[in-house]
Amino acid sequence: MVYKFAHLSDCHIGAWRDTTLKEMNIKAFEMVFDRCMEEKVDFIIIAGDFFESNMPDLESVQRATEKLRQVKDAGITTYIIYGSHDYSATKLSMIHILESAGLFRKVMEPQTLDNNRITLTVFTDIKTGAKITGMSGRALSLEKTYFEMLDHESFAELDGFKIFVFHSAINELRPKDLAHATSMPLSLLPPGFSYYAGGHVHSRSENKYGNGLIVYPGCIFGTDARDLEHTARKEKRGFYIVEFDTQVKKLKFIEMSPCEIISKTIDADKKTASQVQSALDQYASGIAANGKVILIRLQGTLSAGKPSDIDTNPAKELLKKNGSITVNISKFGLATQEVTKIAVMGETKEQIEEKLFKQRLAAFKLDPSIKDLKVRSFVSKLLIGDGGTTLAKDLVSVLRDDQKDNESKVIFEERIVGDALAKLKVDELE
Amino acid sequence: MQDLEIVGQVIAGDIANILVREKSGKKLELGDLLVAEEGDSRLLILKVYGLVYGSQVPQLAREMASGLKLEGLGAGLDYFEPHLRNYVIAEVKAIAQVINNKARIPKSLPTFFSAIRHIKKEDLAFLTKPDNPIFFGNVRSGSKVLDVPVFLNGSDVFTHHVLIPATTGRGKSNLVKVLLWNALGSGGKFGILVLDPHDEYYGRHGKGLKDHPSAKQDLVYFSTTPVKAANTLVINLQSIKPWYFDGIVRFTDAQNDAIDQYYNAFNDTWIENVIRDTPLPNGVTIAPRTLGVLRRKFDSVLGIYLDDADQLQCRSKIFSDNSGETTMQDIINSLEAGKIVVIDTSRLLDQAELLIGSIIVGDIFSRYQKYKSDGRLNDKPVISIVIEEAPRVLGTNVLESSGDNIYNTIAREGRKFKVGLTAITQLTSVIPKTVLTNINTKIILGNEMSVERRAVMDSASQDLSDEDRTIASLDKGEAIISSSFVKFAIPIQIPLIDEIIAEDNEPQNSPKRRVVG
Amino acid sequence: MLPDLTRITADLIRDLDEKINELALGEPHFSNVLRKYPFKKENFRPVLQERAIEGHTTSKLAFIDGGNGEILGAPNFSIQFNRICYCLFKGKERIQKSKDTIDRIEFLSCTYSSFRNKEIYYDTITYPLSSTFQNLLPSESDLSFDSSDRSIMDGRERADIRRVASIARRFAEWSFAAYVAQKELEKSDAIVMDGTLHAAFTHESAYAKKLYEATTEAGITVTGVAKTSRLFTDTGLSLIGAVQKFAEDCKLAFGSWYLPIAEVADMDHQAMIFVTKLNQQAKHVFRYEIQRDQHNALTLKEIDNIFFMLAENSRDITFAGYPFGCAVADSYGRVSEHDLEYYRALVMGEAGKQGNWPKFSRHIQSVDAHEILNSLVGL
Ligand SMILES: Nc1ncnc2c1ncn2[C@@H]1O[C@H](COP(=O)(O)OP(=O)(O)O)[C@@H](O)[C@H]1O
Ligand SMILES: [Mg+2]
Repeated sequence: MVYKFAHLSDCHIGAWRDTTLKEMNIKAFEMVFDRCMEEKVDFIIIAGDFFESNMPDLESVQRATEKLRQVKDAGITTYIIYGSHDYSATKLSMIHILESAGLFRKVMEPQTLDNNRITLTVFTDIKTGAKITGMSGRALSLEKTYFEMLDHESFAELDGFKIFVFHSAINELRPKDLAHATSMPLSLLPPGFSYYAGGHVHSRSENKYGNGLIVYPGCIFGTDARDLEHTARKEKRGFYIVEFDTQVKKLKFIEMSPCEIISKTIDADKKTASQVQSALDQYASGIAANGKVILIRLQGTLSAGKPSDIDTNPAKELLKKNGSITVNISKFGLATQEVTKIAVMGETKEQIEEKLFKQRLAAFKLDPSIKDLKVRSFVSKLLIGDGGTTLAKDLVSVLRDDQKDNESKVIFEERIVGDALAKLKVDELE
Repeated sequence: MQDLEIVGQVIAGDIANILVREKSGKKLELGDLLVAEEGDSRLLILKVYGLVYGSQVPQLAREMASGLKLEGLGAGLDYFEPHLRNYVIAEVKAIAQVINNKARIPKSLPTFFSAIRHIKKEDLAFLTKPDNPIFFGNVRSGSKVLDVPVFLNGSDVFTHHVLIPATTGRGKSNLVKVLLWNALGSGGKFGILVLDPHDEYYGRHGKGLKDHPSAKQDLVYFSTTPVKAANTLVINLQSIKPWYFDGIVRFTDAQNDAIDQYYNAFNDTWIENVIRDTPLPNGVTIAPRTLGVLRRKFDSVLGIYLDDADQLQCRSKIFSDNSGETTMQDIINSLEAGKIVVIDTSRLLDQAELLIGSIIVGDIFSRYQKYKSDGRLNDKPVISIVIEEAPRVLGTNVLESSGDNIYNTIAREGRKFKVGLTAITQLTSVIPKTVLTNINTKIILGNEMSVERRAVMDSASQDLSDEDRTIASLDKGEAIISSSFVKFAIPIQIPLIDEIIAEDNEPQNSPKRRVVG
Repeated sequence: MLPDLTRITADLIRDLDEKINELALGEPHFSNVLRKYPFKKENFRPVLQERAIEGHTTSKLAFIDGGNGEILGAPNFSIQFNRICYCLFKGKERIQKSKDTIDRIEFLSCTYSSFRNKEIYYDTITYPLSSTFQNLLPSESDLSFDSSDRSIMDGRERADIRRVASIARRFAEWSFAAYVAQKELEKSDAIVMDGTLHAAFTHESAYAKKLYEATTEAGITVTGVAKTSRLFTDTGLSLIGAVQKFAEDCKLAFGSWYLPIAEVADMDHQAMIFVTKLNQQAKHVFRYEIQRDQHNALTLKEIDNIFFMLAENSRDITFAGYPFGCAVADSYGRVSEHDLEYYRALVMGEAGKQGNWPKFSRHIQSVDAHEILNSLVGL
């Protein structure tokens, strides 16, 4: 008997401030689920980051819930793990609520073996007999510690078709542009599974691991400009449909795209601001923009003039007029020789942020008066090096959150403070 | 000096060979460190290089006396005042002069007839803990270990290269383990790459660096057969640049030309395209024979070939066309983050091992060169590259036949870029003098081969000409550090790694972890 | 033709063998003794072990020896460096001297010839290197000798000045022995002088007598060991050799022994003379003297005890049968060429400073010719 399941990840429902892109993202998710029902898959696996945050805006939640409900009514179970975005150590998460409502089946259920070892409950899909277990993602790659504690032996006896769901980048398998992201070695994945359903990495890949496959479907739409640029550069977006009996019979990538994306980098190196201005305007006037998402990046060090001399509005207006559904023109990659104040250059806002954090953190020193070794090591782990960068980014993202409709100011404040404290992990320090 | 402390007295000699009569029963040893006090806060540190018998009794009389004893005729006869008449003369040399706690090269003799005592902890108070300290071992006087730890500035030492010469079994590997262990505890000051052909450092079976309390943060292990939590040593073919083969694989001019053409045309995918025999886009043609030979070389060195389905395959699984894209970066980022990266090359063929070394070393070196030109080098940790059987890349014959390679380049100019070598070798004599003199610190372990001792001594930072016998008699774990960063060649006892591991891992209650779904 | 050396030496050895006829050992030959002891087996006394000596006390032996050497010399003067030392043993153990005891005396002496009363005189002036032992040095009047004094003459020849120059040291040895006895020794201890107790030189016996008197009073015995002996038997054999042969012939049951030879009671020599073998392994036997009056006052046990102590001190494996203390005192007292060079430089320097070196050197040259010759042939 051959069964099939769908494997998707990184829906990031609720992502994007730009309403058009936010809508595209949700639409992509709806298309994926509709297709799953069309294909009559036996079950769906979501390998983390279903939502953009633990508590996304209610409109998005409502759209997602509707789809989940339809799928459930079609007799399809959805298995899920948390990703690095949609989990909160201190707060309730929407995933949890939806699980309580019976829309999800969460497949990470850790059991402590001893102080240093854990194992995971293995769930059996009633319809297909597939064995499913997994490890949720965590911020700061905390899941790596769990992986290190994971007792590989406890899965040795399992038979049948076995799926391991995870939400982590793997050193050996990640693409070049994730070289700086936190990631874990392949050897931490418990061996012997037939299928490793990966999430977290936003690009697609298929790899062998023992007799099994490690598959990343990538994100279904993307959460930032870089993802969209990759899409524009022919990175396919979508999800996998996997046919199996006791092993994978067929692996099929289903490409889905809610819209066309065009990405362009205009080289500003050694050009004057006005030269760049005209290059931008010229480019804008030359493309067929109708129905497309258009991303333009200005990059390089200007030989004369400042980035602010370049007015991106005319190009934007023009493209909008020509039917583009959304336009984003980024000047973050611009530097000037005139003002050397901009100490860092990057491709995206996030990268620049990250670089700035890194620079600042390099100068950070632990207060020598802190004598308690436990405290020292806790604080240094949290604040120094990669830990510090991640924490800073996390805090910024918490603080970036808007007040929800119907959320009182007091509740909002409480929520933000609570989230921030959670990121600071004050509870772990007792 | 207290009478009880006195072990001998200066009786004769010259600056290169001071004679000290041993006080009876004091049993001076080769290599003992002695002290002649020269007044308030001035002393000379002496080292024993030779021991000879001295006797007031003429040789013939001694022979006769022994005859009597041996032949059973000497009952009731004895040497009267034997300790006065038969004794030991120690041949010593001043190795350091200490004035007000500062050591200098000695330029005078100890006062005639000075009383001599064993060295004490306080005499070595000038051996202070430098910045970026790396612990090498304790000061050793003969075979006695003093409670005086020897720390050198790791940044200085590593960037100016380290040589660890010794024959097998004298403790090279243990020493490297100790150094790495101590570097691990230094909080990311040193990025050390260890190419480990015997897979002995990580501790795959048994104890090793993995047992260090900081191993989780600061130790990265790559292996073709990784244990849990270790990284797979898999390198994407696209990481391999043509010049990485320099000094490791020899190509003819025609082959080099072909490589250049393919690299210019296909950039990172040049190897794949050579193997697939892709025609060059610019219409240039390469003789099929040349390409054939190249393919065979890639097959033999990298294990790369095309299977029947025209899929690229790699026999050894270290090179891959679809995974390991970030391996080189991972390694280099780890080094740059001050971690220790151990690469298990035990299952690789020699050339593949050297090639991988060359790739990593080349990459990190060029990255550091760039940091230097960007003015960012100061913030970066020092890099050291530990290479076993160093003559494989630094041997005279290798350098002569295959030309310069990255190791040689680093030996010559690495220090400017904070990149150094830690070269381990049984054979020092086959490494060119020019390279040896560039290696500033030598941690000399025992060696019974006089040619090798000579080569080490001839290139040392201190005059070790008198150490020949001492070096020959060094026991396991006994070493001499010669370096321009020490005032004199310091004899040390290197601790046994197993003991350090046991010590640093005293059982402690780790906090209970909460694991949630 | 080459001389047939083999034959010549064979003849020589055969003749010598004939002449040294050990069949007749004879008796000790003395021209002038109180009593001679004939060679008789029963005269041998074993050197007893301490437990065999009733009422044994382990006593101390003080060994006295000295040396002198010429710093500068000419037929008419001799400048000498003199040193006298002692060491103290109890059996084989060396005993530390008391703190305030002088362990050596050193002095320079100058012996010169002068012409008085139509005779050549040798006079000696002494210069102690430390005032502490000024009074241990002989008085200068005792060191003035008529060159025709029999006691200093070499047969019929006028004495060589160097022989005279060594007398000061010999006298000082007696005084120093008395000093040591007083400072370091107690009842039943003994002094071992280097050589015989024969006070051969004029005025010498007065110094010996002072020592005898002081020691007798304190119950200390004065003895002497002679490394060489010029004594003969009346059959013309060397006395020492003859005793050795006799002892072998007797097949004694004991390995170490002493044998009384003669009792001498001269003005200048008052001694009981023994020949003794102090260890079974000894290659040599020695002439050993005990001051006569003191000897006669001793019981046999006390005499046994002295020989026992001496034998205990003679068990050094490098020179079995020779008192170790003698060797130590000898090496202490010995004046080395190095010592002499040192003083020579000082003395010559001073002579130069005072401007009289040319005068001295004229006289020195007459002796020096020999040394120059030696140096020319590379000796
Ligand atoms: N510092 C040391 N103290 C005591 N024993 C040592 C020490 N170093 C090495 N040894 C012993 O010598 C043996 C060989 O050491 P190893 O480091 O493997 O030598 P090498 O790498 O030079 O062949 C080890 O098994 C170890 O027991
Ligand atoms: Mg080894």
